[in-house]
Amino acid sequence: MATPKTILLIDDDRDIHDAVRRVLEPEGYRIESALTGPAGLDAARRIRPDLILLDVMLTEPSEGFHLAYEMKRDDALSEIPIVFLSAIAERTGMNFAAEQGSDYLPAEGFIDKPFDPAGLRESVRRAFSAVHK
Amino acid sequence: MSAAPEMAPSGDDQARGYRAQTLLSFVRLKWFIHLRWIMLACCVGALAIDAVLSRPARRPLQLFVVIVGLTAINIVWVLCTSGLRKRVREGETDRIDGVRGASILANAQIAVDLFALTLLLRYSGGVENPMAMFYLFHVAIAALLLTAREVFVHAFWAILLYTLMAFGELAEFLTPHYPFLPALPDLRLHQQPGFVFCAIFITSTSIFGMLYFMLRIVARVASHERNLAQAICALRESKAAISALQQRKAMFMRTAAHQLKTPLAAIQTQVSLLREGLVPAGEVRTLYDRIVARCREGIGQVTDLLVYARMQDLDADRHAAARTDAVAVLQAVCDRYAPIARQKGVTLKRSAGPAQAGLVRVDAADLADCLANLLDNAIKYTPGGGDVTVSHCVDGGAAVIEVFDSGMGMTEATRAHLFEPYRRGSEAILADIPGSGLGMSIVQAVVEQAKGRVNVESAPGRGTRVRVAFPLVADTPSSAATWAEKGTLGA
Repeated sequence: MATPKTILLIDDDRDIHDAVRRVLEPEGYRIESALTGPAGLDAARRIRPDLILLDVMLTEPSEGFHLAYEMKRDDALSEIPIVFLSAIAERTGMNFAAEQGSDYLPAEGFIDKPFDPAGLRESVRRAFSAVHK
Repeated sequence: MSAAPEMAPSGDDQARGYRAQTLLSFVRLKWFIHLRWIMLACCVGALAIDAVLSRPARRPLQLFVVIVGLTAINIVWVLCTSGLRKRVREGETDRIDGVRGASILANAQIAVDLFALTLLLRYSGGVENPMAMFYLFHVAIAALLLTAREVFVHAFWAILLYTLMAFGELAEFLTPHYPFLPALPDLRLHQQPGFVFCAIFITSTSIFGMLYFMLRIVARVASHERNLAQAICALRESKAAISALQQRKAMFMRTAAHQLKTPLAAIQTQVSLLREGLVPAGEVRTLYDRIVARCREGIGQVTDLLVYARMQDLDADRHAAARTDAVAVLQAVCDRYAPIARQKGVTLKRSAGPAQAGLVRVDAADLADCLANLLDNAIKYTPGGGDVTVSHCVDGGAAVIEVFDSGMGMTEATRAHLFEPYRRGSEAILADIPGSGLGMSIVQAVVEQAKGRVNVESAPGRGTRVRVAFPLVADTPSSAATWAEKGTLGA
């Protein structure tokens, strides 16, 4: 039997952890949780997940972006795909590209909250298939 | 430059004074260089007309060499001025050195101009040439650009040059003599001592007369000009401040929108789970409870946002006219939170200093919002079995209200951002304690607007002590409200 893929969810909202678990665990994924940026970074280094679902606004605004940049700079973590999971949609006016002054967003995908279960499954499947092309 | 010794005395005014002075220095230098281009163009035009009228007589070659030389020198001045200005703009040279550099450039230009003017006169008639009046023109410009002492030096320099030229021609040290208008009969006035002395006397007295009047006028104009330049600098600063404020407001709006969207997003996701049958029957009730909690969180967000917005919108002067019984408000807030504390198993105690807080200059509704947030936080962050102690006293002309809890406390990192809107400590997130992230921002807004003080002491695991102080209404008796007997409130 194949080892289940591990997804690390870094989000400060416990209800989102609960929802992601309910949607993705029946699909055969193993969900690991972290509620803060530092805890998420520690967990990523410790368990080396196959995918990271990352909220943008954690304890500090834009902390998710900084965390993503830090992970992409870390040789041990740079290959792990990151999908942002946030209520900061383009509709709210947040300009992701402006964060680093370029069009580089250090992530393989973006899921807007609120998400529907089917949309989350599809986004995760797409993120994995993009990495393994 | 003339205004430098009179600049504003200190702090922001002094900095603005230097910026204004730098601005003026470069504007004037640029203007002076423009004038020189115009003067050179006039010289070329005059020589062209002269070439037609005086034909077949010819002007000496030296005259053309001086004009070409002055053109080359003016290009050097342009390069020096723009180079210095660029260095000041880019911060390579500070503003004080920039003003000094501009002053040196202005002095050098005036000195060279006076020398060049003397050469032009020498090769076009000497003392016979009425264009000696251009010395006055230079003195007038010097009075606009330089300090009074420097202008006097240049005035003496001009008189010295003119006198040397006149006496040189009179004593025939400077030969040959070049007539002013070669086409007319040569009267040889430069050889007549009476005319030469008169020319020197008239030129000298005119220079000093011009100097006197210009310095008087410039002193008055410079004062207005300086004020204007400072006003321009202040206007630029205001524009930058408004722009920064707008950016902060836009950022706040985005953050607020995100915070309001967060519970709604969670609710929608939870409802989706229920709709798709992803929640086992035994857990449905729990999920409904979570949905209700998130609805309550959303309402709390909106309520706090409205309170915070009200604080920002209202005129801070409303506090100055207020006469609020601090103890009565505190009592009412404690009564409101006593059942909540009891339900959580937190003991809400009260104590008072020797003097009861009396009437304070804080709007009653704002004070209630402020104290409610302090109590709300204290109860939220204190686990069951812990204590929250509320006390008040009078200290240094202010009513001091203190809320101390034996709760989880916070790290220095969290405390550093405590008053920033929507910044919540990781302790709160890890402990799953709900909150809008605006409570302490509201506390700070009330305290600042009422000219009060707020002080926070906290350490992880050792509780938090928040002390707010508000100005007392002078000569008023202590509170008429009855502060509950010492002991547990609402028990």
